[in-house]
Amino acid sequence: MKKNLLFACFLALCTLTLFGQTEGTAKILRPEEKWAIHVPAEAAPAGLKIIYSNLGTPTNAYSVVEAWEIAGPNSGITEFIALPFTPTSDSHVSQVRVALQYDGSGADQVNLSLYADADGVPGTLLAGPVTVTNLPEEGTCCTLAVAKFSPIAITAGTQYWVAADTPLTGTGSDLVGQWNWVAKVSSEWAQDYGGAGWGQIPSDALPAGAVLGTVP
Amino acid sequence: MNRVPLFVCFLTLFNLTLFGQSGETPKVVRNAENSAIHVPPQVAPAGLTVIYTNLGKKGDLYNCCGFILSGPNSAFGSVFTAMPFTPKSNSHISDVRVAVQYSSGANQINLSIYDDSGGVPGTLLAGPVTVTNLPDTDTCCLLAVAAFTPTAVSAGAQYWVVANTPLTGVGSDFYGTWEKAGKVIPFAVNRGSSWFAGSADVLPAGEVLGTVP
Repeated sequence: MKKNLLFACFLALCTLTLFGQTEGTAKILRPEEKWAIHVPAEAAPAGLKIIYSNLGTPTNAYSVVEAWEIAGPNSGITEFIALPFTPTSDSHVSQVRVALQYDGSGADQVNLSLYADADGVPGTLLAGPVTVTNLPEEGTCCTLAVAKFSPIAITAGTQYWVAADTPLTGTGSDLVGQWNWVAKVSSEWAQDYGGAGWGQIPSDALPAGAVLGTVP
Repeated sequence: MNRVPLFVCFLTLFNLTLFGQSGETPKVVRNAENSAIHVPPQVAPAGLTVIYTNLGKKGDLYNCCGFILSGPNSAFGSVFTAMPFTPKSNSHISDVRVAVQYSSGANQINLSIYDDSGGVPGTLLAGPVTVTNLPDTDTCCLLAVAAFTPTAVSAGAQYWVVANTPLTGVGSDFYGTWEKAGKVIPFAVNRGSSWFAGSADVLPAGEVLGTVP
């Protein structure tokens, strides 16, 4: 009997590991909303302009219940995500505000960086990493993770990336967090997972965030 | 001491149950493209009109990294997926073509048409039609094609194409992928080695053909 339980335990642990293996582009999380009250997103500092934003209104800045997983290698899996943006004017980036949240495991911190583009993915590091601590709790809205940069020049019409990752070792490398999707604006599709019944999923899964700075 | 591993075991099993609930959906699948040659999709029967499509251009019909579709007797457990569509005109559906691909188990899935109930599939209208010999995962651009006895749908009403498997027996161990729509919303992912491009448009790819009305 005990052997059977231990075998079941082993199998279950193996299955858990499979959830985190390398087939996936990125793992989608669907946290339950914890607070009916949406805390408005922090106001942008005076003097900074929005260079890029896909955030919604202050009290509906991003989706509460859909997110990509962000995880450091010492959490058991590695999942880093990057959001592209293309400025319409020559600008200087000085602040990045993204919908990153903490899932309650590992160090409560994430690194945000700016990258140039290299064939449609992040290329050369331009600025950062800036370590952001005390992320908002998963299942809440609409506090943002805010990273301040020394002003970095960017060029109109060129694609850049905001990347969220962790150190590969040491403090922060065990983070389990998430980057919430944009607020729901698109059509739904549906999925029945494990026979639990149909659930809706938005079709637009872009990570939510904004890039602020000065023009030029 | 024995209590600790058993507690871990129960905790783990409990967590597994949670995985099957609303807390987490299965991840997007990404494999290396098996063939650089893009095989054109099957030709649609003459006389049929496109009632709905989110497919891309010929030769680049859909994107990789779609969602797992699997039967309850597959290693991954039961994951069924549904694509919504809303006809612009009163129509009759006779052909459904979706980007479902095969990885393991019996090489077959069921496709059905449902009406809508509160934003998810409701009542079965037609099917299931069993489609066999699906294209391999991460090839392009063959489709899983199901022919239906013409089924009336109304303009402006939402309907669903559901892909699933039997709960038991042949087909219940299917494991594959429903690839994503042709539209690309770029973002990037790094799983520890390098960045790769993904699309944040996660709508399952497919089209619905038929006659108007």
